[in-house]
Amino acid sequence: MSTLKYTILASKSHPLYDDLKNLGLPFYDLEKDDPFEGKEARYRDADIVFDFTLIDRDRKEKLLDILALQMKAPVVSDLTCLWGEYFIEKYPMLKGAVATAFWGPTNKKEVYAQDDSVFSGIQELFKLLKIEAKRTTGPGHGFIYPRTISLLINEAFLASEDQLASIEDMDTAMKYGVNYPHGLFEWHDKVGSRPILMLLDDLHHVTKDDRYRASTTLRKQANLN
Amino acid sequence: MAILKQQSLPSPPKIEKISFLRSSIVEISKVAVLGAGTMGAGIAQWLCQVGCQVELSDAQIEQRERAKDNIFSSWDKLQAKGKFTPAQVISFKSSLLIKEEFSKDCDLFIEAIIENLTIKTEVFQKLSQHFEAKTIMASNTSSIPIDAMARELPKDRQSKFLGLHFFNPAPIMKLVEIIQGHWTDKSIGNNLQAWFQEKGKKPALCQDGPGFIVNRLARNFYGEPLRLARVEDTQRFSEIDDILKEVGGFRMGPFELMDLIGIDINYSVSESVWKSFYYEPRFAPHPLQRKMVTSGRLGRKTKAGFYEYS
Repeated sequence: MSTLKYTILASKSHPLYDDLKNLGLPFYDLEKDDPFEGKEARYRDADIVFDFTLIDRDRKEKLLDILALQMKAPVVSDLTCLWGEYFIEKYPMLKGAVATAFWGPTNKKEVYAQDDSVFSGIQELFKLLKIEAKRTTGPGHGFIYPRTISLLINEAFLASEDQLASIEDMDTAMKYGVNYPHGLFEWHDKVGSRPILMLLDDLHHVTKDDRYRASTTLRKQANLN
Repeated sequence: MAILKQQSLPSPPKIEKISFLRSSIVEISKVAVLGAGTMGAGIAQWLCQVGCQVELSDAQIEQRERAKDNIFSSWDKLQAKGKFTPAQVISFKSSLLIKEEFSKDCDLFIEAIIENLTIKTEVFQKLSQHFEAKTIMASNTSSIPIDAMARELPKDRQSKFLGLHFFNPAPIMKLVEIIQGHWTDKSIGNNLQAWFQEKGKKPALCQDGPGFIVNRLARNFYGEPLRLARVEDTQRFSEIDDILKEVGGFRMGPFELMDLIGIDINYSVSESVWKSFYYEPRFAPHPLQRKMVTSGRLGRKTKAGFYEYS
């Protein structure tokens, strides 16, 4: 068990929600609890606060605004689907960012930490979750793996809309033509439509570049499910 | 009040898997392959290994002979490694014929010559008069529209014309893209898919579109990392490569893969797909690619690309 005092904030939509909840650490489900109520907020004695909410830009800003007012301890936020570079610059208490909202074929996840002590704190929590931290030089916008795989999956959906080939044949082509570990539709099934759509929409909103325009089918699936 | 209550995200959806109905298997025993370069020779080698009688030809006599020597040498090495028995290798060698003119009764003709529409069209027009009516004619093109090659052919040939895109090295790589053109008889595509499957390949049936499946769907494996890197920075290339391998599970990172493929070749495919989609931003090449090409740093083959090679 870690020597650091952690506080975990999470939303149920985050893929690590159940694992985090079962760690036995101070845990707040922000869809049920409001740890910010009252004068003596319960998370204030933490050495490090982890935010594992998978929410859009406006709601994340609202959450970080509250944490900025109330927190002394460093905050590490999951910014998989958002413009991490901007958030890090805007919120001085945000000392790190993680990309854990996208399923991946390995147990490694991208992590940005402003200093070694924050990185050690992230590593300790990740050990409990059986995740290995891969440190990056910055969160950029959607990190590296989530952003790249989102674009690849989106193109597969657009090709399907064009009736280029069956889903099965497109997955076969990518696995056996370029040795991808999974077909792009199989990959999508594991990651889920919603995080991919969140990232593409945020990239499109910030850059105004149509290369990030999400497939209609992907959007429909994210909204229907 | 719970601050996030009004937004709950759903679990991942399931996409319905669609399977093509497989028809009866087509009879392919005698195959003509034109073009004895890397792809043509590889295709001929694989066809011999799965029991076909193969006629291999090339406009250049030396190229034909060189291809035969290379294929025979490859089989000898595979025999030495225990992959094939001596009897199998004798059988393979006897099934490969180097020809100046193909037999008329081939079941399948595969063209694997230079990527030039004019030359390919001439070849198909000439050979459509040579082969018997039963012969299926196919191009191993990676970028030229199938319909552009088929449109000048007689109607009975158009229905038996399609793309068969093998991947390098053809004897090893499992994928064959089977590209159906506007006039292609659907049963031929389905039958060939079943035939390739039976022979150990992983065939993927698709329509005639820019880049077919792989060269379209894989474009952003290069395009997005180039945008993430933005400028020439070897450390950044290395970081992106490492993350996509270690976190994303890809066998190679995009920059080391572009260096292996050839930055000029990758850039050319990117440009071709981008133009074919009327300059759709999803496929736009990146200035960094052009910079590498114009400076002659094409990857491993020039010992310099996104990385240096000694």
